[in-house]
Amino acid sequence: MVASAIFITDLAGKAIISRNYRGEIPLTKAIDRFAKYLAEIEDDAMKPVFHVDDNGDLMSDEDVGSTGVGGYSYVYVQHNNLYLCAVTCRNSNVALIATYLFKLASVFKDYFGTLEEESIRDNFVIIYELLDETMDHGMPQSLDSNILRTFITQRGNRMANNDKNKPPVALTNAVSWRAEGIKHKKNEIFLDVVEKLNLLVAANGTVLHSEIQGAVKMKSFLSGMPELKLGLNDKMMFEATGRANQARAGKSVELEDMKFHQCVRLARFENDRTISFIPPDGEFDLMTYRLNTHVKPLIWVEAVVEPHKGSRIEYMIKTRSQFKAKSVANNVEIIIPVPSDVDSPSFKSSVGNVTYLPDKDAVVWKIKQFHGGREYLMRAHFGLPSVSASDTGDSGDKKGKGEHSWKAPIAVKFEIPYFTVSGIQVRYLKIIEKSGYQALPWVRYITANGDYQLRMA
Amino acid sequence: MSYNNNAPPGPPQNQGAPVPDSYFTESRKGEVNELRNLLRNFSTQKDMKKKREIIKKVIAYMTLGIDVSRLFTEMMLVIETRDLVIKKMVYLFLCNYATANPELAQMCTNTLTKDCNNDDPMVRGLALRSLCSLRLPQMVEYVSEPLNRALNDSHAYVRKTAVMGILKLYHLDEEILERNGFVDTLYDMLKDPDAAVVTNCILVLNELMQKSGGMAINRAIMLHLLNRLGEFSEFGVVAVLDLVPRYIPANQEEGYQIMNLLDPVLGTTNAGAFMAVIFAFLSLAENLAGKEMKQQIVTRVKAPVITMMTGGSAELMYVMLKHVDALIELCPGVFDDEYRQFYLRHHEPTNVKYLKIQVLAKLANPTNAPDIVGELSECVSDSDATLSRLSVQALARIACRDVGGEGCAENITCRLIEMVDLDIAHISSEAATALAAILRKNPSLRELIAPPLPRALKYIHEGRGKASVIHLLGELGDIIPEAPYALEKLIDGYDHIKCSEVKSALLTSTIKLFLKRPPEVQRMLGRLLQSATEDVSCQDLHDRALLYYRLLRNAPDPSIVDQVVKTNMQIAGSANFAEENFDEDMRDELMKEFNTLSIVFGTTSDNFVSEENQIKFVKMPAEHPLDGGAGSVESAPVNPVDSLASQVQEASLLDHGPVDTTPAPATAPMAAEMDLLGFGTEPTPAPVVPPVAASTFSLIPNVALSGDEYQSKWGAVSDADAHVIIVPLTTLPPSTDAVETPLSQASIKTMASGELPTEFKFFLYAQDASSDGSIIMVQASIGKSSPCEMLLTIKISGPGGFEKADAFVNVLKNALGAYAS
Repeated sequence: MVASAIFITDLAGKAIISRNYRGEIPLTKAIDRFAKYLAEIEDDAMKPVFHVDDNGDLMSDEDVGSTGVGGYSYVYVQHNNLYLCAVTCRNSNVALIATYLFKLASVFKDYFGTLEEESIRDNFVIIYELLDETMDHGMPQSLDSNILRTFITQRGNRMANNDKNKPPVALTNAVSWRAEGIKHKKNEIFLDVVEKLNLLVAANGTVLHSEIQGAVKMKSFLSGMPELKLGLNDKMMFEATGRANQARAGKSVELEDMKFHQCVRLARFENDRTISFIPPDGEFDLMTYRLNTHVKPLIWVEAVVEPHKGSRIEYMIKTRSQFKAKSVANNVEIIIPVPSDVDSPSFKSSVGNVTYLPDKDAVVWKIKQFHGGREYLMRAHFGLPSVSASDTGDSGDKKGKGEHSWKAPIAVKFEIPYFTVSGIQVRYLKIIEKSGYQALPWVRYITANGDYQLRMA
Repeated sequence: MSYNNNAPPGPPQNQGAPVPDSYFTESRKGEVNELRNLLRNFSTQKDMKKKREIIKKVIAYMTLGIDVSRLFTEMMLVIETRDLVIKKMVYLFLCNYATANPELAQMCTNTLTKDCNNDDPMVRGLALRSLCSLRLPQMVEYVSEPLNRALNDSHAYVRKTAVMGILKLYHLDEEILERNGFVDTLYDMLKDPDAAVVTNCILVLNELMQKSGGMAINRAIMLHLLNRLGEFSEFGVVAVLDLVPRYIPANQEEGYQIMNLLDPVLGTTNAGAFMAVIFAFLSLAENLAGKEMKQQIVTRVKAPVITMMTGGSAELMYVMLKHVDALIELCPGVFDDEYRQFYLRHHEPTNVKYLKIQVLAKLANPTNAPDIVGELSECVSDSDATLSRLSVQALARIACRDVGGEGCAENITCRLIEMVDLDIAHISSEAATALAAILRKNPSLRELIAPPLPRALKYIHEGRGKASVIHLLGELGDIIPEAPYALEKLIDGYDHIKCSEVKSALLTSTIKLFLKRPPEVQRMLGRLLQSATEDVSCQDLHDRALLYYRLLRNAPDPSIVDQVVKTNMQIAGSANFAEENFDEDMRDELMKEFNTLSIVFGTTSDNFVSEENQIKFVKMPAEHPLDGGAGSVESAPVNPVDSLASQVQEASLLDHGPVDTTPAPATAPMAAEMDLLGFGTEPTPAPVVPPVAASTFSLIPNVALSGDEYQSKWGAVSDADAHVIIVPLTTLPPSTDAVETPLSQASIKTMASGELPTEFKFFLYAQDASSDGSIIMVQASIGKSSPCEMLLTIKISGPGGFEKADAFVNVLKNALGAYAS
């Protein structure tokens, strides 16, 4: 992979900071071209990878190369109110560049808490340092914020005139993600199993797609170089170790596609499905998994809409929780899109409170605590102007738009603690360190909404 | 660095917008001068913090794009500091403005060179990196000395920086490589204990050897790197993985071993590494078993690919979708059952949505087609016009390809007819065009398509859609009674038609109708021809109208007109529209650049990357004199192959022993002059023998050589002394025997031979009948794909130069007779 230069701009494409690693392209011109792209291309037509030919003309994918070789390719990602962008004049590994940019963003985030225009302006010296360490001559180098922290600090590093001259061993260590000699007073490790439910329901109520995306997140505060082993009720593991009956007893789950943090020994996992690793210090995602099973929608929403053109529109929303009665969903939000020109809202609901958000063209029904196996009703009533926006539009195109712009799907947000949809369980977390300390593992389970959408009729 | 050095110290870009940061808000007039004063008093300033603030201000200005190069002299005086942060900032300044002030920059190199000897490895690395990044060609000689030292530094951080430094200097002065023997050093450093250093070595070598197709790899290097795979960081691992597609495994077994070794890497969260593994797999499959294997591989990676696609951000999803699309083209059917993953989500960016629609159409099969058609129909009513057009096109594609099983095409046709009647301009028009395409493909649907056409003509206004309806009316005129009258209105209003596409369609359709129903149409045709021949807005239209007119007037027999007008538009059941057929060769070329921008742009890199930035990687074989693919050697004598197979076992990948025990006499042809990893140290025989005249050249008939002898003799001749000759063949021999038999009659013996999926391989030998009696050994391969030719690698054990090889080839050509051209 080769990136000629990296730059960060605001949403208008104005450069905030940049680094021209290879000096093979005129960067000022390249950034201006990027700003022009942002300004000229409509949101709909923007692509995160695009090519500009030698004359500075934007090439659509079909046209790339039609005006001869040369020019640059841009790869950019958005983060809050910033664009992180890489330019290259070679045929680079595009997935790698994107990954680098994301990693870079997360390094900045680790350093400054949030990554936005302000934090970059406030910390430009460190940003320069980080840009230099994470990439050399356009090739990615070290991108582990834990390690970078050991030699690039917020306070600024003083060149050693005392003998405590600490070379950044860890930068090139075999265990590249963990520095040596970490000490914590209390040896603790926190483990969160977070499952997100992705759901897509058609207007007629059939489930088009449902999927669980799970993650095991860790916060490690352990001293030294601890060896950890995580045991899950993984069906494949039971089978691999000859405990087929345990696998069959229904206490195990079949995790389809697992991805691990780089600290996990992948070859070992391949062999006997053991998850063993030396954790980085602090927060990280140990693994993610995906389950493509048919899940009953945990929170079901039905909407009946009665539009009376030119006068009013009425909504009847019914919601039902479809999980065990002893579980509780917290902070449930049901977001119902409404036409943009409604007025004088009035609501009636059996529970929770309802608000109209004119800037989002939506109604939000919030239910603080939603116990399993319950059903609630909400009615909303709006006035409509006698001449609607869509009527005034003359072209046929707009006709389509007016009709459909508010037919976005209903979205639902929720969190159910102490519960996982898949039934995944942490059976054990073994912590072994040569000093022999006792460490406390804390485990939490949580299920939340992922991309949870129900289309409206 | 980031800003054009020659830019005038002009107004900063953000003068209008105040930035609430103290460094950026103050007015800038005269500030650079003020900074200069501050810098001049720098040494008297005691407070470290204040010192930093001054420098920070300079860098802040630089970041804003203000030219602070005037401060160059002052900044250089500050370079002597013990504060690492100040040092870093000054270095940054230096690298940024050095090219504009080469003389001044040269003066401060002393400090930099001194820092290269600092006790702190951090400082050593930093100084070296800056020194190499000055981009001053006249400095190259100064730099090479500290660089050489740094390559042997005790600290890996310095070494890895030095390795990258070689590349930086190379871009300034290409000759530096030879003067310092850097290439050899880099190959040596592939054995460096630190993986980060090795990573940079690979990256740098790849670029240095750009012209010869990337870093030279052989079996020893490959095994060495693969065995250490676990040590690399998630980004470093990509460098190694990118080498694998270029490596041709010694035999099938090794290929499979490499695959097994790489398989766990599919569990990574790093998309770059992940895609690199897939590419490595696909390339290995090409060498091993071809198409079926690729199917298996795509099936294997399907689940993780989907996770990678759905789990990340929108930007990554876009990139992944492009690659998924390529994989689907490569192995149709594999992703079919995951079609629900490609359903649109409301909040996704449009670029992702468009791609998903296109992919969905490719996934349709009889099982999932009803679902997909339903989903696409929903998308048609989306508020985004482009999206609904794409959805209609996707539906048409499914119907035209007839992949949806029984009744699917009918179902789609019905839906399209409903869409035509929807009376939403872009949807109706697109649906009409889709119907025209479907009719060409599936004439049995004509009864279904006919009824709505006359009314559709009234409300479709978009040119292309209207032209499609007119076309359909012409085609289906025999079953639509009112067809001529629908057109008549248009003909009467001819002058109001603006779109030439509509006019053309009108002309053709009216002629077609005339041939079907002459009495009704004759008069309106006359009017139309008159209008069209007088129309000067479109040359094509005018000429065609004239042509039809003359034809009708002069043709002795109306059937001739019939033949001219009624060209068969139908597409045979199994064929696709020409524009939908992806060129196989082009796809193969494109797949060679998997995991790059090429896939995203859909065109190979030589179309958009200029030549000097182009790296066309070449595959490099592991040189095995006797191994023709362990599994597929047919007529080989038992001994040599067996003994070799066992050697391969010893060097097996999963055996984590030190690589240096690998017995393979491996030297890659690309880098024959270098001693890669310390193998192939056999002294090369000096080629000082007088040339042998071709006329006197003959071979000893009964030469015999054992497998071991052959192998040792082969290994004893360096690759640099091998002769590579291509003999074009007229036809592909049916079997290995067809080659061996004539050769053996010409005293060229076969040690082993075999048939691989893509080629025949032979290991041949012969002995020169002249006094020196040298043994001639040949590795030959005949590729099964065109052009048909025989690739010979000839090594001569004993004296003899190019002439001898040439003479030998002549003998071989004669022996092959019928095949050789």
